[in-house]
Amino acid sequence: MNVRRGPRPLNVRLRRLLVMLPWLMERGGATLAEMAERFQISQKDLITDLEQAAMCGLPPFVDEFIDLYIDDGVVTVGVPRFFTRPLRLTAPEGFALLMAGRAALALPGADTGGPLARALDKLEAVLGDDAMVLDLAQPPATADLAIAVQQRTTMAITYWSASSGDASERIISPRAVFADRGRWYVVAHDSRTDQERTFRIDRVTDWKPTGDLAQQRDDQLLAPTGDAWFDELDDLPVVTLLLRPAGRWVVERYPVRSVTTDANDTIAHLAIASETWLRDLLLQLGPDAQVVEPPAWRDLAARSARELLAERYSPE
Amino acid sequence: MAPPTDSRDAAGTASVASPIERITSLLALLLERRTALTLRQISHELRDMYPTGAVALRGAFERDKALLRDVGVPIETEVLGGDQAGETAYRIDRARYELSGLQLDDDERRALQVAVAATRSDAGQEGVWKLGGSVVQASSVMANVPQLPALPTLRQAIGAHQTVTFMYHDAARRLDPYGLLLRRGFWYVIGHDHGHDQRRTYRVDRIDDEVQIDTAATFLPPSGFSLADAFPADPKLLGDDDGRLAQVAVYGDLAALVRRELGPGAVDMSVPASADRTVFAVPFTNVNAFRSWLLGLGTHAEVIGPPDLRASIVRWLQGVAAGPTAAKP
Repeated sequence: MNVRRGPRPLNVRLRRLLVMLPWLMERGGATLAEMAERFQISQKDLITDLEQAAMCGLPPFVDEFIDLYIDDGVVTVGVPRFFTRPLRLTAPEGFALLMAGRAALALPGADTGGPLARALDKLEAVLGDDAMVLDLAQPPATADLAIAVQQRTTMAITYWSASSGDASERIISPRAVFADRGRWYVVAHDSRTDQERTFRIDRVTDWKPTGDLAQQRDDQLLAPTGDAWFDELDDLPVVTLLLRPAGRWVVERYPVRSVTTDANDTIAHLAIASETWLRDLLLQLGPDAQVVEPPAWRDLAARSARELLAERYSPE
Repeated sequence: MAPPTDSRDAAGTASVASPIERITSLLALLLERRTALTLRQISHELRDMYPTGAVALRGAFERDKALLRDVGVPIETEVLGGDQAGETAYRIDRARYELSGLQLDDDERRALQVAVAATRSDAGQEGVWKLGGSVVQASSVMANVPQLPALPTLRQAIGAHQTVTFMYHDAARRLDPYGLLLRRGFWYVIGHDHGHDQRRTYRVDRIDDEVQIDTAATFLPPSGFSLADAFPADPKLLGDDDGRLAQVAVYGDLAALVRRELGPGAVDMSVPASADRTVFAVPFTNVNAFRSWLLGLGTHAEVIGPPDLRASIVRWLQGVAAGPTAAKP
């Protein structure tokens, strides 16, 4: 939804026009500033599109389809004849609305009997059976962390760290909560390290609101989309893995920096949170993966398997 | 407004109407006329907007038509009879064009807009605009839900109870789709597979190329079908192996996490617990998924029984310990 640079594609312009015109017709007029803000378009582009649309009509051009003029920053429409009702929802729009609604109903703190549920029922009546289930199963701490984000309060948590193998207590100021690839995360300021970091919520074993307000911040931190949150962690070590077909699930399950696949094997560049994380992943993958780079980790899997055998599976 | 003559050149031969002007005119014309119009009639009505040469005219019209369809305008075609026999005519059914029958109250519209913020999709924003909503504000609590091109088509077919066809693992599939399920971050479509004549589940992100709807083939979804129960959420239970219980000892602080994951009922009371060690009874029907889960716990867990399961884990680890070359068959 950014304002693009360069020529705007025709379909984008047309799609936007067909949502703006009915809105305008219903109100009879609006300021350019209001429309630009509402429909995420620059005033310059808005004027171009409205003026071009206003030229449409049948020869000999007395019979205009759209009676519209722009004067002094204000758009005014005359008696509306066309484009008074919005265009029906397209399949992607219908899907996006239903999916968003179902997802929101599955989010922590959702009101399952409220206006959203009613809106979904009405959508379903127009779009056909929805038959869509979003299983966003949440670790138990998720709802309380989401509340802390909204109320800007701090939480005392016990967090299990895979690299140390120990749980530790810390005070965090949760700023955003999000689900990605089936896991829930909280982005929070961590008082122990005085840094912002992303915690896996399923590793929070205990949590309690402190009752304290988090340090006041003016900016709202938005939950990251796509792989953005992982890409930002660019100080993480990157490992190059050769994956057999049976190990390809790694690139579907975890964010990867890049992937190349030949007939059978996949080469994946994967940012890793810690050596422990990589070790556990390699033990799961067994013969289906091999570390290519860095050389220091080429024998990590074999070393770790020997250690685990010695520690837990040696004959008494 | 500017005089429309500005948009035409002196000779009036070549089209210089802006594409937006021409397309909105075409759209308004087709919306206004109750009968279907041939390209000849359209170019006559919108003279000076379209090029005059037959080939250029057809090319420009086809581009406009494709663009209108791309944004969702339902343009229907019919082949005429009588003295225009064989000619194709075009029309837009206003009832199908307009969004109708969806009277949302203000609080419902707002709730939907907030919901779109929690998944953030461009198509969602377009939909919110059509419903009269405004800009979707970003949210601090959200779910990254994979957006795949096949999903809207599948949902449309599910909503209309129509059969779909697609390629999956290099084989053509024909499916009566019952529903879409997002689980553990992946989208699945569940339905009746014609080729196998049984219920099947497909990962939507693994569907090759496009999903086609066979609008002529409809089906009745089974009653009492529960999407959420279509397959177990726990991958350890996602297999054809006989249901078994593994005894797993978990050491240190990790035990608290595993207890949360499996539930307090999974603690194996027959084994004396110690401060540092808790034993769990872990059900599984898929030994590979079980092994993956166990090894994901790293050095803090150990399978202690049954003996054959422990032996299989030991063999796996010995294979890994021997290094990559030895692990190859």
